[in-house]
Amino acid sequence: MTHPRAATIVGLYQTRQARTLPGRTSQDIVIEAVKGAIADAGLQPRDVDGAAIDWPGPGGAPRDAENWAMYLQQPLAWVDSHHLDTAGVRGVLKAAAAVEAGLCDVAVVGSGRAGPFSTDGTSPGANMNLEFAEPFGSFVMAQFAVVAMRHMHEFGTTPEQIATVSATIRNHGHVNPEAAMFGAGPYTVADVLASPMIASPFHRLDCCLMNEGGCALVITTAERARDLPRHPVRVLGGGMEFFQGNYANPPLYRQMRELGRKAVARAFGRAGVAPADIDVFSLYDPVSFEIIRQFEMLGLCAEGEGGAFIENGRLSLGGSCPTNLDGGMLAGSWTGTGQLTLKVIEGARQLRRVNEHRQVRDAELALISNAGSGAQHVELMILGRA
Amino acid sequence: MNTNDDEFALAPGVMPTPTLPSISTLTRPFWDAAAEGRYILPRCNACGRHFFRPEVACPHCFAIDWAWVPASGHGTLYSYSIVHKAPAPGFAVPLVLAVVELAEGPCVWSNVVGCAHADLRIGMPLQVRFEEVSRGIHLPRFEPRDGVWDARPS
Repeated sequence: MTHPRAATIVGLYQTRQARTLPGRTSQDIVIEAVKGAIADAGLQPRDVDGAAIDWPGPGGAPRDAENWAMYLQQPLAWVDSHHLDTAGVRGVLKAAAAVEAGLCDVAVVGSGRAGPFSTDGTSPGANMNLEFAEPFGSFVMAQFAVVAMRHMHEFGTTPEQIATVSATIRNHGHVNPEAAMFGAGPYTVADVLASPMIASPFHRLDCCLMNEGGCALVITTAERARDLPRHPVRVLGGGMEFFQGNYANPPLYRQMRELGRKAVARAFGRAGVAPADIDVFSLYDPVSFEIIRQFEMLGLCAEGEGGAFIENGRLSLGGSCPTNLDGGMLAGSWTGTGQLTLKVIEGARQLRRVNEHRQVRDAELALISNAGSGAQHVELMILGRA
Repeated sequence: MNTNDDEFALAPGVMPTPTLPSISTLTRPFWDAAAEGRYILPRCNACGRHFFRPEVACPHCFAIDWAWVPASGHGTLYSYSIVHKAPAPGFAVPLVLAVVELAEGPCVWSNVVGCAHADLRIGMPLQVRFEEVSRGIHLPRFEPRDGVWDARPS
């Protein structure tokens, strides 16, 4: 029996995701997302008493989620302000825990971004004040690259297999009107391999986007969800694993081969289901290779066999592991933190069964993941159609 | 931080870095030794193990009691990526971002220099080569260790 306070996702909203959103600011994008998610849930702002929502400013107290009490028109019972707690699996799991513990009844998680990341074209992860990494040319894509290179060395994973992931997910984005790269394809494996090298083995088309947009979702109790209009989606289980601080020390494959396995055991143990039961996958794809590693992490194939596992249409709609049917971060959106939440939103939409041409038929269970080996942490969550 | 030192010029063949280390009191001894051509590592006085990067307490055993000790400057190439997109303006690409497994145990970020990209092999022996990239800042980069790798039967 479902506990009356079981955490349930009842509202979803994503703004337009695009390379640029001229005239928009991060703050007005977050406001649009929060209003949209509350409306989608059939609620009013004053119904919300928990906020893990970014506050980019201007206005208010910088980065402080407590500012949202002003718009939600009541004192808040629960807040979280850290930029990685206002998004994604981590944000939703913490909000779900707050709801289930009775700290609040209706929580919103959300963030958004518009405007340039920097003025000099610097890559993400290249300006984090990392004394023993950045002077050598480290940045995020290159940190993921050294994990992939070692995997290729040990197991013979091929550039074509890695590019197959990219082509597949980018083709999903090609036919999704909400994806930032809608209509930009279609792509072949050869197209991926012919795109400029960024950091070997990753070509440009193996790397995720950088764009603008926002999103938010609403979580409440199973009891409250019964009175709301959308088909409820349950947070069945979650697990997180943080190996060490991000990007300061190199990610070693011999350590990263284990990353996430305890989180998988915790999440599936709590949910009472197995990885083989999952109907649709919404996996973090900062680079294409990370999808291969995550299927090994999930135990759906043996270590080293991920490259072969993803071949032959496995990741497509109609394959046995439909993955990132929205285009993921490779073709859908990456906005800094919003993409973490979009992974949850895509999984929840699949379980609402509202995704039309990309809908996985009769989807009951979705797996959501965030982060990955290069970042040395993993958060994952299992969602179930109520 | 930028290398806006008009009087400093890179030695011939030295790869530039526009991103200089942000040195703290914790890390200053490393860079002072590097400027003298000495490669040193933290070693725990409680458990005897080396670690990197420097931290206030030993990451192996949590002890506060550790000291800088001379290191061999030898290691092997654990993994690498040939970086073609400059992570920030001023880097000269392509460059080899490397994970070097030191003989003393720790794995560190560095560059491999003095080696054709086609000759890079995971597992190849390396030795440290300090390169002055800004006045007084000597980066520990790595080059193939002479006479060790090439001497192996092919």
